[in-house]
This record gives sequence, C-alpha cells and structure tokens, in this order.
Amino acid sequence: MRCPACRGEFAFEPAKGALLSDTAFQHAVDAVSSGGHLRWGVEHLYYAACRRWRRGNPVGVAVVLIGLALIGAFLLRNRAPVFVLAVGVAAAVVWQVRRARAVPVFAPLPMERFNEMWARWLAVHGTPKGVITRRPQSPKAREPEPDLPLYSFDRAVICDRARTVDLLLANNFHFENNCAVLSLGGYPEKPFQTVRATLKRNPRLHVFALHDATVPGCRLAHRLANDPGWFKDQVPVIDVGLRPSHAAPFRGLFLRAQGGRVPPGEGVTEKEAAWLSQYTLELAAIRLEQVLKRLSRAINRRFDEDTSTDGTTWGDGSSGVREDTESFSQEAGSSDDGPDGFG
Amino acid sequence: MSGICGWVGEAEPAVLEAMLAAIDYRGDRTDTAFAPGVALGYRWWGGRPGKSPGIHRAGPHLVACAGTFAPPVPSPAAALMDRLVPGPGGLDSLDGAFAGAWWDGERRRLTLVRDPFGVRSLYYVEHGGAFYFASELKQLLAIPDLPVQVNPAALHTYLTFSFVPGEDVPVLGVRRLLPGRVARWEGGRLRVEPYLTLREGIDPQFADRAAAVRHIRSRWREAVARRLNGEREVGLFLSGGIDSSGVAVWLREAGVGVRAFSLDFGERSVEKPQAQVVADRLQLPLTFLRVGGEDLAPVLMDLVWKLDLPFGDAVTGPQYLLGRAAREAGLSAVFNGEGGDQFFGGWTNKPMISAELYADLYEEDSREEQYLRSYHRFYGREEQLYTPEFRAQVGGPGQRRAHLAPYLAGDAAATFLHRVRLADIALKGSQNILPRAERMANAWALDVRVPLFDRALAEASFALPPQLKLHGACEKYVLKLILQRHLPREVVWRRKFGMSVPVTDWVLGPLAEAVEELLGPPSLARRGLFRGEYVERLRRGRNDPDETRRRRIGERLWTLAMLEAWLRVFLDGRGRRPAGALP
Repeated sequence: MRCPACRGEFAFEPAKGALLSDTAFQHAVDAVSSGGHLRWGVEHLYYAACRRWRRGNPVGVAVVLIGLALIGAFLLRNRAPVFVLAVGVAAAVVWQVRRARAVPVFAPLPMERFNEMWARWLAVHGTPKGVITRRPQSPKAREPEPDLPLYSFDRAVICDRARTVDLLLANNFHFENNCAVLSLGGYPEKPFQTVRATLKRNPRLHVFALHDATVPGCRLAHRLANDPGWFKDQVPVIDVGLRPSHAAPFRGLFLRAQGGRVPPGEGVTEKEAAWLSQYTLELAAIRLEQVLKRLSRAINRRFDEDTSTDGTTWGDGSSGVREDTESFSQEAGSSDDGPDGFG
Repeated sequence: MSGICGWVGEAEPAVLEAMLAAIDYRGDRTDTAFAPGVALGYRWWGGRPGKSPGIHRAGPHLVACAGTFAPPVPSPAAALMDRLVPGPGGLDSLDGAFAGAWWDGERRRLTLVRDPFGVRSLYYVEHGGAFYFASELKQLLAIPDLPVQVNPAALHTYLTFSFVPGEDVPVLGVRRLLPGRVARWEGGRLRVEPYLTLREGIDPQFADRAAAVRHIRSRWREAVARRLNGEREVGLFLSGGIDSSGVAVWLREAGVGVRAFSLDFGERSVEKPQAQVVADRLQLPLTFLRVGGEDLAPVLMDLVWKLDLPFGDAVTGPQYLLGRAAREAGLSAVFNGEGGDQFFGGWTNKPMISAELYADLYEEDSREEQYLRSYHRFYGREEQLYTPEFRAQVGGPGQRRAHLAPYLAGDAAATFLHRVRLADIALKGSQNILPRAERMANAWALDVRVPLFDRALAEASFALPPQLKLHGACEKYVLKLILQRHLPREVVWRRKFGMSVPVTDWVLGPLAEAVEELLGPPSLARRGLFRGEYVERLRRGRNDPDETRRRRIGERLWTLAMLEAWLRVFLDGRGRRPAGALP
C-alpha cells in the first residue's frame, strides 16, 4: 500500500491487523531519539512503542467549565463581575490542564510481533538515523600515542550488558563525564584491557554499576566489589540500579523471569530474590534521555567530596557496595516539558 | 596599559588623532611621530615604570611599543629595535606583554611584533593605498571611510569556540597578527614569520621527579619576579585554585605587598573557603567581591566595548568587576593564575583522552571534531541555530578543523597530552584567555601580569614527561608537588572544581531582560543570523535533549548575547563608545 500524498510505500497496514501504523511507529522513532538528538538501539524503540501518553482533554474540560460559568451567571443575573470571574477561572483551569504533565500508559506489544514489525520497517524505510551500529574493528590507520595508556579516569561506569555500554559510548557519555565505560564481560574488546588497566591508577576512582533488574544485573556490584581484578580492596562500588526497588513505576513493562526460584546472596536480598524469581525489568524500559540525565546526575553528584553524605569515602582503600536509591527511583514517566529538576 | 597605531602610506594626520582617541581609557599621555609616508602614535599612562616614555626616535628610525617586557626595561620601544635588528639572540628570550612597531626610515620598512603568547594585540588593514595597524580593532574602525562589514566566517568560528581564532576577525578586510610573530611590511607586501614555536622536547633528566620539581619551581618563581616592576603593592586575583595560589606564594617570597581579590557568587561559590585558607596561610589581605547578574546589567555595553572582539565566556563579567575593585583599591597592576591548565595538564586533557581511547567504535570520529565539541557551544548544532541565509555565507567545511590540525596531528609533539596542550595554548590561551584578561584589567587602567604564560616556564614545561602533568587522574601534578611545601594539603591535593560562573541563573534571572533585548524575536529578525525557535527554547531554560548540564544553557545564551551586543557596538556603531548600559 502507498501513501496517497507522496506515493511512498507503507510498512504497516493497520486495517489488516498491524499493531501500529507507520505514523505511530515513526512517532516512536522520534520519541526514542528525542527528536533525533540521541543514539539508540532497537530495544529502546520497543519500549518507546509500548509507551503511550495520555493528557487531560482541554477542550472537554473547557466546554464544561464555561457552561457552568454561563449557567452560574444566568442564575446570579446582573452580577457581571461574577461572570467575568467565572470565565477567568475557567480559562486558568484550561491553561493548567494543557500544561499538565502527560502520564505514560504502558501497552506492551508482543515481542515477536514487534521484531517482525522492525524487520519490515527496515526493509521498507531503511535504517533510521541514530541507530547505534558497531563498526567492524580494524587496525587503526594512526598509531596511538605512547602516553595514552598512562593516564586514568575520574569515574567508571561498569555495566552488565554490552548494549548498555553501547548506549553510553555512542552518546558520548564518556567524553562528557570523564568516565570509563565497560561491561563486566569485557566489552568493548579493543580498548578493554587498556582502559581497565588505567582504572588501577586512580586511588580515588568513583565506580558505578549500571544494570538491568535481572539476577546477573543485581549481582553486578557485588561481583565488582569482591573481584581483585576489578575493585576489591581498591574503591567502593556504587550501585545506581536497576534493582527491584526501582521497578514500581514500570509495572506494565516487567518481563517474566525465566529460570525458576532465585536464591538470595551475592548482593541480592531475600525480598529482591523473591521479585527476581518472578520478574525482570530492562534498563531499556526507561526513556533514553532520562537514563543519560539520571546517570550523569548520579555520577556527578558525588563528585564534590572525597567523603559523601552517606559516609562513602574514597582514597583510603575502603571498598564494598553502596546503593544509590535516589537517582533511578523517581517516576520515570516525567515529561521533559516541565521542570525536570536535573540541573 | 597602553596602545599604538599608525600607518604606512598617505592619510590625514587627523586620522591618527582619531585612532588614539578611540582608546582614551588606555592612557593620559600621547605621542605622535610623522615622517614622509609613515605615521606612528602611542598612548600610555605616564609615570608607570617599565613603559616606554614615548615614541623612540633614533635617526631614521621610529619605534612605538605598547606594554612591558619581562624582565622590565626602562623603555621597551628603545630596547625593541636592538632586539629586532638581525643577529644572534635577538628575539630568543624576548618576553613580556607588548606589541610594537618599528619604522626603518632607511629601508622604508615597517616591522610589527607581538609578545610570545598574545597578551597584547595588533590588527592591520589595507585601505585607500595605506597599510594601517593598531592595538585594538576599534582604532581601525575610527578610520573615517573604512568600510565596516561583517565577516560571516569569523562569526561561524566564534559560535564554535566562543572566541574568534586565527588571523581573521569579524570585520572583513581587517586581520590580526598572531602572537609570537614578527611581520614586515615592505614594498607593499607583508611577510610574517614566527620567532617562537613551542615544541615538545622531553629531557631525560626530568624522569627524576625531584629534578623536575626543582626546575619548574625555580622557573615559576622567576616568572613572577620578572613581572615585578618595583611596585610597592600589586593585586592578585585569587581563585582558590592552585594556579593563583602558587602565584601568591611567589609574590610573598618576592617581598612585594599583595592585595588579593576573590569572587563570591553567593551559595554557588565552591572555591571561596579555599581562597580564604590560602590567604590566611600566606597572610594576605583578601577581599571577596560579591557578583550577581544584577551587577552586570548596567555595565554590559561598556564591557563589550572594552573587550574589542566578541568573547562568549561569562567569566569576563566578574573579571570586569574585579578590575574595578582593584582600581578602587588604588592598584595599578594585578597578577592572575591563568595558564596552569594550558601548560600543566588541566582541561581539556581528560575528555580528549577518553575520546581517544574509545575512538572509532561506531563511526569514524576525528580527534579534531571531539576537540571542537569540548567547547560546548554550537559545534554540530548549526542546522538548529543558523538561518539558511547565514548558513549560506559562512563558507565551506573544514575551516574550524584547520585551526587544530597543526597541533593535534602535527609533529611539534609526539605525546597525545602535549599535542592537546599545544592546541589549548594556541587557541584558548592566546586567543581567548590572555586577550580578554588584558582588556578587562585595562578597562580599569590596570596592567595584567600572567606568570604562568612566561616564555621560559612554557619552554621548560615541554621538557617534562607528560606524566608529571597528568599523573593518573591527577592534573597539574608537578605544580602540586611544588606547592605542597608551601600550602596546606587540603588545598593542594583536593579535587578540582573549576570556577563556575552561575551564568544560567543570571541569563534566566537578573539578566533576562537584557537577554530579551538582545535576543528577542525583533532583534533576531533584524540581524538575520539565528533561528528564533532555537533561541526561544534556550531563553525558556530548555536545552537540547542530549545536554545534561544546566550550565550549557547559560553558556550558549551568553555566547549569543555577547555576539549581538558586539555587533551593535562595532558593526552598527563603528566601534564608538556606547552611550548607555543597553541601547
């Protein structure tokens, strides 16, 4: 089927049972990249497509209120100021409703159907701008300067998944935050050894663990803090999430856990183990723009002191895990139209 | 400080008076010299040691030299000619804050020279058959029939860097002599050559940390001593960071009286306690200057006029007010700690190293592009900001990267850190930090002394292995090793905050009205450079979704506002002194 206006081919035909129209899918693409400013992966698009926004209906409310004002004025008769006041109140309420934050409603799409739609979209419309694409690694044309491996970073974010690392690096997070970004499993391969070696050179390194609310994810910080190859007896590890305690605002986006009962331990409490036995929640469920802002805030907030308000100290060889319960706990559906509060 | 001007060719003598009058705040005395086919002018504050007491005349030779040498000489103008005459040595150790012009009446040749790193400036333009030169752009704009048209390519680079780098300036036809250069105008042609080229030359003896510390300590101390001119008392802008604190240490050792000034931004001041600790330890009188956006509104246009070129960093506002405070305290010279980052391993090393270690994972990045991004202005956002008309005028790709390539990819250094240092020194240091500091001080008739931009110290810094500058994640390591004997541990080894002007609060708060006047829809439409929607969004306090730091909003708005203000004063107003606070 083709668009009557431009004759471009459509990917989807809702009339024939497609879950989303091309327009709706395109909206999701625009949303996930925040209007083309961010780099993203297909997993973020999935959750963007699951997320619909609901606003108050200004026209309906206005009609009702103005109607009430008119009725009131008629009943009060000859009280023109009251009528004017009533209209004024109605106008103010309409204005407020229009400004009100949108609330997300989650309508999860079946994953297989979404994957089919994505494949079809690529075939018809090509790869959208901003999709993170890993380059094949080849020997660099230019020899790196000999001093590069000798320095270090102020901070490091260690992730459970390579794709989370991609998300940060492709959006220049490391550049903007003086931050090493690595996955537990050794990604990105080429610079991994060099970067990890540099982390040993800063006794005041600030380390943050960023992960999905899954079993391996919730054990990540514990592993990092107890592995001499990582940060045991070096520096503390701060777990920014996601843990089950962060999950409540995303109730509609939980996935079913596979793999049966999860035992507590290795950094996972009993209560968390119970939740993880039933559900998982991917970091990708949070809007990408929010992830970057919150993470940036989380890693910069602690930076002003060598001892933070929760007693975490750096530079004296103390280690172990601290939890950051704040940065990823706020209601994730906050629109960025209103005061975002992230400085 | 002082200023010079003149021409080779024919022009009315009244033009020289106009060019000198354009910088009337730079001195109470003037001297002029006319000879067939040449004119020289000089303005200065009488009675200040180390300044030329007039134009130097020696037979067929005339020399006008603004500024001072380091170490000081009674008359830089007299000394300059000896230095410029060919022969061994000459310019090899020449240092200071100066800009000079020598007319050789026998050879009929004009020689122009700037100090090594660009504290003082020189601009020139060919017009009506004459070759004009001057210390400030506003002096050239005083030439009555000089066409004054904007140079869009220079605005384009300004919007990326927040200053205009290179030889071009925002007025078409006018050019700038780069620092550390000598230019000769002879037979209608200009030839320019450098007399100072910084190169990495790591000395193996400095693998011994103690030797390196001794060497840099003595150079740094000398750099301060060389910039004292017999004053009983000098001012110091004490930020609380180690650079200005170190300068304070050496000033005390030199035995000169020091009055320190520091900025107070209210609850946003993170470095205030540090400045107090340093002042207490060194027993310096310290004055905190409270600065808010409301203090800047009445002085904004004078600030823009005194800056002479557009500078988009909001630190100039507080610098202007610091200058006023130092002047009111009766001082005639101020020291600062500028240069520590550029020479000894501060910003922008860390982001550049991060980018380099992670390069080429997703697409082909270039080192130059990352460096341009580190300025956090409008690089990469041209489509959003520029109107199509402006976009069409700014020229082709590669202009901005061309400013960087000699340093980031050239052969003056083999280590990554030193390559980035060279870029920072040439761009941020010479084209931004030094000229604006000089102009903000001189707005109040103050000499500015910048010991960390001392030539011998600079050359010594490039003999050090880079790990003495960035040691792991510890910046300016060698400076900290030097100062730990003189200052408390918690001052020397604490984490760096960086002085952060609360510019976003200002432009969205007390300066919102001024910003609306400069960047509101009518002004934008008149000027035709910027898209209203993007600027409106910034003015509402909203930045792009990929920006996580609030201060970017203020930095961007300030950069745009300063440009519009500059255009009003220098393009619309031909560089004349603006009448009021805001037109």
